[in-house]
Amino acid sequence: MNEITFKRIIIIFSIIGLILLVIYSLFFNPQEQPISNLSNLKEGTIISVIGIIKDVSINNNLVTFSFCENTSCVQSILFNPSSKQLDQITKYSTTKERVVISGQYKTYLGTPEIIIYNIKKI
Amino acid sequence: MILIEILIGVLLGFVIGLIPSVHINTISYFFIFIGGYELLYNNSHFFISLAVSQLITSYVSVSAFGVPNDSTIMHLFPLQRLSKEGKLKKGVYLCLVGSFFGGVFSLLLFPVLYLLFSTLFNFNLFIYGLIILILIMFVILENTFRKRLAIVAIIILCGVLGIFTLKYNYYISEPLMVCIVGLFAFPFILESIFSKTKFIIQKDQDMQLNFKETSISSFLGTVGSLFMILIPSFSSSQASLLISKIKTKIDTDEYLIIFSSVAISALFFSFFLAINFYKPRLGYIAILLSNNIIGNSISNFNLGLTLFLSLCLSVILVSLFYKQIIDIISRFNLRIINISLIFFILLLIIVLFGIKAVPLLILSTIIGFLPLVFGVDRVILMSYIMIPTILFYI
Repeated sequence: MNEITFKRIIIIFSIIGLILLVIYSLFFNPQEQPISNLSNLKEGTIISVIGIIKDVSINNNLVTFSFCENTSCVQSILFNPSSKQLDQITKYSTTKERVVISGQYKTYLGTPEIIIYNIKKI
Repeated sequence: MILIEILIGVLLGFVIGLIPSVHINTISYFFIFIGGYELLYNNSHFFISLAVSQLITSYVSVSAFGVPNDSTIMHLFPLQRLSKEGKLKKGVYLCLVGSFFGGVFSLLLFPVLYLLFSTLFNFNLFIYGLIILILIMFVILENTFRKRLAIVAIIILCGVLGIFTLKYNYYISEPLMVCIVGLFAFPFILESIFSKTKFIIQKDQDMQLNFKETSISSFLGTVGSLFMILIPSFSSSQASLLISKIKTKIDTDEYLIIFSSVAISALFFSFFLAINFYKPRLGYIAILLSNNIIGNSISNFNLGLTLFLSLCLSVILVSLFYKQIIDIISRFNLRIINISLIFFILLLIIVLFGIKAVPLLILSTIIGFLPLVFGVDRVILMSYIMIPTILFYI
């Protein structure tokens, strides 16, 4: 195999691999979890949770809020939100509408939190 | 008790540092896996000294095996050059000198970092602009159009990989280590397996260094690191690369001293920022913070003293044994070692992250080959972290 063929193969495989990763991410359906069950999950698990948004705090490029279902709440974080997402969060927190958030379950300084990927109305 | 903790940390860091391509972040995943943070909850000094010792010892494994991680990637070429001339031992000695002086200078510059960070950090636009500027510099500093085009393509591919593993990570729980191993370690190991190597006797060299020149080179590395640490996602290797592009007339000795100084200073500054601002710049330190191992439990004086003691002990320990270690490793068949290494890392990744991590490892390894085949600087692969940082975290 000459160098040019090798270069072509590497580039083609990189692009195909990335396309597959993007397709996987776009069509991935995270498992729905109740907030009360989060502490039993393995850190890093991708989940979706249903609840209402409370106590929104907007700080530079970071939005944090409590995401609650009945009496259980979890701290949720959205990095660098778009203006559409900011409007959504503000609206949902005032109307107390039930929404579904998907994201990654993590702990920070021992406290559970969800790093949000997506917010949708039910 | 604290001294014993530091001593154990230094000894363990020494052993781990000898394993080629293992980055300090990998060790944190291993500690999570075995529940080490719960067991050693009150032992912050142990974890700090382990990181210092692992970094300093890793120069021996980079020299002997020729397999770097993302912190030591810039050391590889000067060390390989010295290896071909049979001067590898001198190379490791220079790294030790650079690490020692760099470590001392960075401790002295902690107050400057405090001032810089508290005044500049909130200027998001400044940091955003700086990252963009650095990426543009990587492109324009290449001398041919083809290479510039290749760098742009690599930035885009690494950026997409970063976005879909770090920001929208639906694939595996901790993709960072898998991708870093794939991007940085595997292409090197595979390349060295398939390349022809010949045995070269590594001679004991005259180790006389000019104190003034050594101090200046180390100080330059520390100052470079001081500004690098302000930028999220910017690695010590990228800082070294930029210094080498700007200060073009540097000989191999100076390179090694500067790069080692940058790397150790980045580690010291990362600990300082984590403790004072809760801004870890390294995965290992972020995990220590999130597990409450460091943070409020350790004062600045305590941190400085721990870093200094760890630095001295590590430099002494490595300087006592590096010649013998290089002699022993030189006798082995590197190809067999590298094949075993591939299987060891693969097994480690499967145990830590599951079989699902393997396709991601293959993809990042293929992307990691791009700088090799296009002959461009490999630190550009750090766009994997830089692009998501610009887009989502500043």
